[in-house]
Amino acid sequence: MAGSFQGIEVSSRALRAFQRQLDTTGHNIANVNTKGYSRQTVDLVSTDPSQTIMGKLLNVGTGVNIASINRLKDQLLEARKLSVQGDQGRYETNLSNLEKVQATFLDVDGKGVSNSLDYFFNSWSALGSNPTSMAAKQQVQFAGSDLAKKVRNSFENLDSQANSQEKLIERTLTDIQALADKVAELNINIKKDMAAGGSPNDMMDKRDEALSELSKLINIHTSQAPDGTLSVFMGSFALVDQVGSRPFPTTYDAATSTVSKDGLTWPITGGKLKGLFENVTQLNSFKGTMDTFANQLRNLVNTIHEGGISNGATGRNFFNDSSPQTGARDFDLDPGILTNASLIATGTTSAKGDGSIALALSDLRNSAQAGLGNQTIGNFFSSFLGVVGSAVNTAKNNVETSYALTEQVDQQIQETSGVNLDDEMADMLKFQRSYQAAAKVLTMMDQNVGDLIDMLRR
Amino acid sequence: MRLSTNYQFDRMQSSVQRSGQAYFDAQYKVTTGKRMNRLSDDPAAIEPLVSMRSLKASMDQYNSNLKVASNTFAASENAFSEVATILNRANQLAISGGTATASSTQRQAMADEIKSLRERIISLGNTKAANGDYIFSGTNLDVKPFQDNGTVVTFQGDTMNRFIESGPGERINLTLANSKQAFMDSITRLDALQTALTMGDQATLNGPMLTDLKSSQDAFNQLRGEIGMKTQSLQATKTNFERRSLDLTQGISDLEEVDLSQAITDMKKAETAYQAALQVTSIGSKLSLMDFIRG
Repeated sequence: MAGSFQGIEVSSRALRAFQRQLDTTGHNIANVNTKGYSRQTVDLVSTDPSQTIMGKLLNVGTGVNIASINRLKDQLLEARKLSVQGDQGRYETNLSNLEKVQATFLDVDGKGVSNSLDYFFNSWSALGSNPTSMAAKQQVQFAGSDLAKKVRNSFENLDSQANSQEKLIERTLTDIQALADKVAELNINIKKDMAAGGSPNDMMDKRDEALSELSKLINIHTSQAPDGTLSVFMGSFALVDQVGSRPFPTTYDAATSTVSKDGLTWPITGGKLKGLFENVTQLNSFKGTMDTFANQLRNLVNTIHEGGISNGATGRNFFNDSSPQTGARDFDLDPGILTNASLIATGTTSAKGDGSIALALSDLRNSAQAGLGNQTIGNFFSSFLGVVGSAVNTAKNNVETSYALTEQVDQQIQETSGVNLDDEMADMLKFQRSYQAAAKVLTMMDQNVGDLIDMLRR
Repeated sequence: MRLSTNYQFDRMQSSVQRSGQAYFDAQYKVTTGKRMNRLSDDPAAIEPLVSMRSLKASMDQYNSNLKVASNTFAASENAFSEVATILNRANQLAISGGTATASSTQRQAMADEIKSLRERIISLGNTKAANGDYIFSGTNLDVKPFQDNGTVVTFQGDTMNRFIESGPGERINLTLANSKQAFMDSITRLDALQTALTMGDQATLNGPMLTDLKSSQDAFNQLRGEIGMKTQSLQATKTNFERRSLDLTQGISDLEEVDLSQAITDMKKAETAYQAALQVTSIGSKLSLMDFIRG
């Protein structure tokens, strides 16, 4: 049955509830810039009525209570975010790699392999016109050595870029493990808190943030258990389950884009790790193209040069050759020619004016080569440059698309979860007024009780 | 739609950033004057650009090869024209030596002159180009082609052809196939003329000698005609190169350079967009409910 102080009790509960709402508004405003923070609201519920009999049974309202403090989050959108962020991580990694690769090809500025190739063929043409000239031979020697150096440098650049990608893979694997551990640890705390009846909103936000970071590194999906724990899967591999985090495989194969452990393999389909795997594969293919280019050039030039008279005999290579061929890595002139330009053959006879070999070598630039896909040597290289340029553009487009997608999902998430200061200000006014009203009720109740006491005093 | 404050500011920031970047890019194109700064700027244009550049570089080389040819031809022509003069003189001497009025002393003096003319022809046959190569020794450029041991002249050169590259897959033959024979015949005929003069053999001097000298003159005239033709085709090739080189320069610049008026217009547009983004951001970020609440 309602006592005399019930009114005071009702209004003081209301004050507490409104105070909590104001606190939460303050918390929202305070976290307006916090990454991964979700807006919180206080859910109120009217308390059970007290029953009183005044001639008949009456249910008298007893005021308000706090039902829960909620985190406004759309779980479906969160899952979508994990997927689009994986794509973004992957394509960003592709782009940054390819931009570094294209910066090492200076052909657009006229300082690349293609330019040295022109110089190389022209020097043979000049020697053909002037077979007795030592200066023309030295020019061929210099041009050949310059071309070889450019080819080697291009290859080395690709190689060191591939190595740096391998290192990044190692680091990413470590990062994945660290984030999985973090999620597992937060799982334990959230579970404890929830078992005690709490709603650990801020810890959940932190866990979501860790998942978001993780999704940038690798393709994941999650499933939530009733006890509040979140399991994280990559394909069929459980990265985090209710027990804790599992050691992520550290053995990988970039070519097939898989990781493996204990005889099992899992495909990697997204995230930075996928991007890095793609980079390594692409760099290896670029390196292969450089190798083909170097080997073909070596064979074609040597075959002609061997037929010429050098130091009184035929059979001298122009480019150093060994079996098996080493590709572009140590592409260089024949050691003899490297130190002595007079060993360069100009013709097939010992006559000093025979420039037939030099002319044949200059003519090499005009003929399509079966070993180079029926392209000329120059076209083979320039179409390779085109491939690199297009790859950069494809990566750029992919990044832009993935940005647009993440932006869209982000916008949708922010619609629900983001803090809007104007909203919060309006809420603050509302809660402030409510608090004032409740305080007024309390004052009035107090006055009533006071009047009653005064009456008794007389 | 509900808009979070963070999102609102993020969007403002990214639109300022994006239009700022576009403005910077447009500016960069104007200041460098280049449309192609990276491979990815226009991947489809790389192959034509590289091959046009390569063709242009090779044309510069072909052009300097043509210079070697035209120098060789000019030197040959000089030698041949001098030979023609010598043969004319020899002809005159043969005619005056063949007349009955010529005394044996006069004929001896003529024979001595023929001897020196013979030496002159040999020395012309051993003409060197500016770089020291013998121009009439085939591919044996470092060997003196006509060697004289006092009585007999032997040819030490070879009859191989010497080529220069005059275009993609095109060559010009520097060797004049008949020059060896023309020189050797002339020398032999001058020898015979000298003997005939010394002997006072009027029959030979008046008859076969003149025919022989005439055929030597014809041989050299033919060679000069050959050179004239080759020089002409050389000139034509050169003119053709100049025209194509100009075309290529134009083509290359079309691919790698910006159209400046277009680029500046683009830059102005980007600048306006950037200004608008800044303006909107500055106005939009000032709006807040807080300004309207009187606490």
